[in-house]
Amino acid sequence: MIRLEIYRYDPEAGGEPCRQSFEVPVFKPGMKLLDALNYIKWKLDGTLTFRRSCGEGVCGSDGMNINGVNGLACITDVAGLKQPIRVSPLPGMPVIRDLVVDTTHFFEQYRSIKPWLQAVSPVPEHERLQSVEERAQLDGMYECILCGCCTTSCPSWWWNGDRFLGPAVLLQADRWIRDSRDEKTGERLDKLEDAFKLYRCHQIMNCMEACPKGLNPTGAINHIKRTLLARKS
Amino acid sequence: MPTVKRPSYSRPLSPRLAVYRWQLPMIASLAHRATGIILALFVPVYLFILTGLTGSPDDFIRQMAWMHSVPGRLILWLTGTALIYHLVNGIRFILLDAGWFEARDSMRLTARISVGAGVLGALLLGGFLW
Repeated sequence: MIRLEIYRYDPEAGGEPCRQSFEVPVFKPGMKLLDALNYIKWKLDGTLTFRRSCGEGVCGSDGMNINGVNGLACITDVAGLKQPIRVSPLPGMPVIRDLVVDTTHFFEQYRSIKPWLQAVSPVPEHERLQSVEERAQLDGMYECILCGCCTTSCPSWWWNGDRFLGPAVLLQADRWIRDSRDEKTGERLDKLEDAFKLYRCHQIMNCMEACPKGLNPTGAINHIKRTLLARKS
Repeated sequence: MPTVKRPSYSRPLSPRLAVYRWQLPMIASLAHRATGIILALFVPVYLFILTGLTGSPDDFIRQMAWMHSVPGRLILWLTGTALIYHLVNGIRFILLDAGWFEARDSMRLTARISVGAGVLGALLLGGFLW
């Protein structure tokens, strides 16, 4: 049996959030944390609420805090986890219910960096071409699935989340800065050059430790800082 | 870019510091800020020691006695440790800023080296002072 301690909050019942214990059998080899949560929802307590969709680490829906570190429940093995497995919603976010948090602000911040290709030159007859080397610049950035594990692991974002953009959004910003097809690099950099939006990063590196896709948002943030510096000199 | 405002909710905030597990790079960053504060706070103490040592011969003896007392030694030990750590980790941060050691494993390894240097410095300095 696996023991879990899960954060519960029911807005309709009122009252404070609490923790509830569950016991789940190991019913298949290579069982993931999401399997255990599904078992609870389907067999033990149907009111347990959490997000999930693809179940294989691609959609980024089931980001949560697992034994103190953020990760995706669907790709986290229960076998390696210390018991009781303490499951909480992504930190520093308004809780809607149980493990479901309100991500509105996170995606507002994402929208603010204009995460799309901006080009002013006339549209070519075929696609906008990129060399193999130029495309390789996007490795380690395009894999980001915006699960929010990194941003909600960042103490700087916890304290200054209203102004600091956070690791996920800054990694995405760097993705567009590095894209050889994008023609608004200067404008993007202008908008990021801000004591709070970018420079609240203090290299705490929780984002790097949390990223379930093995990316490095701290490295991306440092790359933006270097690009800004290179532009000045 | 419009200023992004966090909407106000009556919803509870999910636990953050209370649940988050301490990890070495996090400790390294926090210790860097803490030792920076200690070093800044030491400036008036340093001036106090300096004026004491450069006054009269009597002042010099009194100042030396204070520096050899337990609180004096503790302050010197704390500041010395802070200086060693802040120096080593400061170099690490500058190298990271310059684009060195940016792989995930290197970030972890250099955090270990910084914290290890701080602990080693504290022990050596402690041995020297007592």
